Order: sequence, then C-alpha cells, then structure tokens
Amino acid sequence: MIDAQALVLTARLAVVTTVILMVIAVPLAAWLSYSRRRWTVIVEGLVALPLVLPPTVLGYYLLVALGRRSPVGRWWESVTGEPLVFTFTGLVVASVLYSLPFAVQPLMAAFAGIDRRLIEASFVLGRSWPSTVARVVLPLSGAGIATAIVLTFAHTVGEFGVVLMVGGNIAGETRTASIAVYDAVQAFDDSTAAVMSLILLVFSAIVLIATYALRRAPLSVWPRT
Amino acid sequence: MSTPVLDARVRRHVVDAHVTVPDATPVTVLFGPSGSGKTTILRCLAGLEALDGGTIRFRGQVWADGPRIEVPARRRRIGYLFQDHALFPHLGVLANVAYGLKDTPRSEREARAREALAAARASHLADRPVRQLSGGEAQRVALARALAPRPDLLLLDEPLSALDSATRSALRIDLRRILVEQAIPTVLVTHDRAEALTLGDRIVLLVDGRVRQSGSPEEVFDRPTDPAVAAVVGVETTHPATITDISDAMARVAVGDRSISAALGDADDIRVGDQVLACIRAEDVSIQLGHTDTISSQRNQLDATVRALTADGPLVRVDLDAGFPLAAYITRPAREDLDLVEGRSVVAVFKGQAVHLIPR
Repeated sequence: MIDAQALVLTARLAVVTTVILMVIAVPLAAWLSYSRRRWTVIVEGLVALPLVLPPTVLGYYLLVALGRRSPVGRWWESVTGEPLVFTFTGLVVASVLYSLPFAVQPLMAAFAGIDRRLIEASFVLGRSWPSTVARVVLPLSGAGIATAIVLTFAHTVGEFGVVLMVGGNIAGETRTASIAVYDAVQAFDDSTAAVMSLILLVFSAIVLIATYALRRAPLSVWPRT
Repeated sequence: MSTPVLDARVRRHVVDAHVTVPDATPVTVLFGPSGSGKTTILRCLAGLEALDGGTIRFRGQVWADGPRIEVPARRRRIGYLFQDHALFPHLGVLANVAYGLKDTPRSEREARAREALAAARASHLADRPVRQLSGGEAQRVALARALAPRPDLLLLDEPLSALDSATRSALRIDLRRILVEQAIPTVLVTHDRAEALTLGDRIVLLVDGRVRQSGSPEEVFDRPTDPAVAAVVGVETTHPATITDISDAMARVAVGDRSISAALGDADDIRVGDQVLACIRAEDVSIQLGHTDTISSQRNQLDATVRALTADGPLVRVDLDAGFPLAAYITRPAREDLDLVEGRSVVAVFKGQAVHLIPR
C-alpha cells in the first residue's frame, strides 16, 4: 500500500538537494541582490527559468548534458565508475537546478530588505563581503532563509517531470514518491496511488501553511520588483 | 604649511571639489545646504562610492584614482558614523562596538570595546540590546563602534541631525570634547550652522558640489567671500550697495536711498564707486524707539518701519523697512518693552563692524 522505499528516497533527495542549494543559493542571491553590474539580470533570468520551462524540456537538456556520451557524463563515469543519468546522483543534480529559483528568490527578497547602510557599516569596519554576509546579512534574513529551505524541500518532493526524464523509474535508486504515484496509476494499483497521493497532499499543505504563517504575507512568484 | 593628511579631488555626479585635511586641525567640517554634495564626498572618502574622476590620497597612499578604487573601504582604516547610527540590530551594544576589532586578539576585544564605549561616554549602555537605545544613546554607541578599531581617519555624516534638539545640543558638546581627545583627523558633514561653528576647526563650504570658501569658522561665517556663501551661512540681510567714501578703514555705503558706515576690515581692495553687497546679520541689529545723542561714525542709526514680526525659537525676528529690507532679532521681553507692532516707527542700530561688504 505504502511505497516506503520511495518515500525515504524522496526525503533523502529533498534533504541533500536543500543542503546543496543553500550552499549555492546564499552567495548567488547575495551577488544578485548587491551587484551593480547590469548583466546580472541575465543570470537572474536564467535562475528563474525553471519556473516557466516545462520540466520535460529541462530534463531533456539535462539528459543531453549529463548523458553517457556527453563530456560531463563521460568524465563523471571515468572518475566514479558509474553514470550520472538514471542514478541518485543524477537526480540530485537535476533537483538542484530545478529548485534553484525556490531557494534564490526568497533569499533575494530577504537580502533586498536589509538596510544597505548596515552592510556599508560592516565594510568600513574592515569586513569583507563573505564575512559581511555571514555576520550581518544572514542573521537578519531569518524568515527568508526559512522560507527558502521549506520551499526548496517541498518543491523537490513534488517534482516529477525532470525526475522521470533524468532518473527514470528504478526502485530504491530513482523512484521518488511522485513517480510511485504515476507508477501505481499505470498499474491500476488504486489503493497505493490513493495513499501516496494523500501523503503528498497533506505534506504539501502543511508545508505551505507553515510558510505562510512564517511570513504572514502572500508568496509571490518573483518577489523582488 | 605641512602637507595635508588627506588630499582629495572628488568628481562625482554634481560634485567637483578639492578637499584637504591638514594634519594639525582636528575637525574639518564640510558645510553646505542639502544637495550640495557633502555626503557624496564623504562616501567617496570612505570608499563606499567610486569617483567619476579625481584622486584621493591619504598620507601619501592613493586610495582612489579616477573611477578605480585602489584601496577598498575595508582596508582604509576609517571610522564612519552614519546619520542614523546604523547599529546592527541583531547584536548587543558590546558586540556592535567589538565588530570592527577583527584584528584584535579575542581576549582583548571586550576590554577594547569597553574602552571605546567609555571614550564615547556610553559605558552605562554596554549590556543593553540595541533596539532599546534612544536616538542619542544609539549615536554614542555608533561613535564608540567607529572609534574602537582606532581608525586613521574619522568620517561623520550629519552625526546629530537625526536627534531631537535637546539631545542634539547635549551630544554636540560631548562630541567636540571626544573629537579633541581622540585627536584623529576628522571630516564632519553638516548643514547646521551651530554644529559647524561649535564642532569645526576648519570649515569647507560647499555650494552645488563646489568648494566656495574654506577657512576658520569665523572667517567663513563672518566674512563670506561671495553672495552664494552669504546665503548659505545665513546672513539675513544682503543688499546691493555702492561705496561713496572711504576714510580710516571705514566706508560710507549707499544702500537704497540711505547711507550707512561699514568697517572695511581686511577687504582692502574696495574702492570708492565700487558696487558691493552689504551683509548684515539679524543678531547684530538692535531696535530702539528714538535716536541716541552720541553720534558716532562707527554706529549706524536708521529710521525704520516694522513690516513683520515672526516668532523664531526664543527670539522674535523683526523685518524692518529701513530704506532697504533689514532683519533684526530681539528677545520676547524686548518686544514687549518696545511695544512693537507692525507699522510702528523705530530706529535700527548696528555697528559698522557688523556690516560685511562683498565686492561684486
């Protein structure tokens, strides 16, 4: 009835993706928020791309880029001995890219709300950019960080198209909860589909309500105007 | 004169100014109306903004050369005081003050921070959360934070303007003492005359991004070199006039259809027939009901009519028609004694020394 293996795998994927994304998204969001260079809008647009791109399109390009005949895929296989696509590692790479805007945007919204003079005060007191982000920007962005973590986690749990394209449906390796639902429906296993769907529905509802409560403000798709 | 510690040619937006800070003068005040570019200059000195052109040199080291920042803000070893303190709200007072002490061994940081708080007369605030500080307290803590790393240059951006007037005057007196004690070259930005006069050893007066006059506070405030400066330093009466006679360092000056005497002071390039601006400050003009008998060439007595009376703080500003518009400040009791009302005929009295002549 419950595909526990798929649930555990989904949780593992979401945790790993969230951790990696926080490490990537904080400096990226800080750079996008504070850089005065004009071409950062290009990067800003690219980061937001997964919001509008069909997951199958993103999945297709990832397959092309990470596949066993691609330079990246061949290099990875020569180093680790296993391919990137249709593996858990490949899923992590895909999830990180797919959930990137959900980590970067709440952080950018939070960073933009910080009084610029506090950052300048840190500079004139001898602190570098990384030190200023760690000591001033992040401590003052609590709600934004929490929102980024929750949304990244939830969005990774809910992804389907990219996972199917890049990971396929290998039990214990790439079969996530959403794939398990699809799989159950295809196999006319109504009870598994119903239970798994309910679990995902309840989880998503709790996460979003918690996020709204945290911010007491409506979530916008692109909060920084 | 020795080479200045700071030699800055700043071109940025409307600003095109050459500002120097001599070694021996503790406090240089950048004074000017809002929009004159004072804060822009300060931010360029701090490295928070790049120049469009020019150079900034500090003790022989090039900080900025044209749009290139050679030494970033964090390496300039400056103390910067923001207008509204900019304390870190997530840190306590002590942690705020210790923030810039990254090169101090951990064990000595607290002692150094407390020392800086003591210097800023803020020891009693050490254990308070920042959010509970009043405006004046926060500004003292912010000053302690700027002083703690023992900076080579202090930059203060309108340090008192965000405070209410009672707090402002109390802190102003302390601030002057603290700056003199610390003996760190200081550049202070203000648009407030009282602050410039009490805090500065040297005034650099800016109008529309350019330095119009610099010198001691007395020089700049009492002897403005041109009408724009006179307007900025707040001389209430400036009126076109013509020199009709000069003798014994006193000039007879025709203002409107009247003639007044004015001390020439150091304005020795003024000749008979010159067109000048006669500047008279309202606080140098007193009002009487009749002429006094002792006629002196040094003392002007003009028949005048009261045009308007305006309460201005503890004083009353009296706008007179003395053949030309003339403003005077008197106290409230004086107004009652003289029974001043609009339309009343009075005598305006001011010394020749109170008249400052600006050649045109």
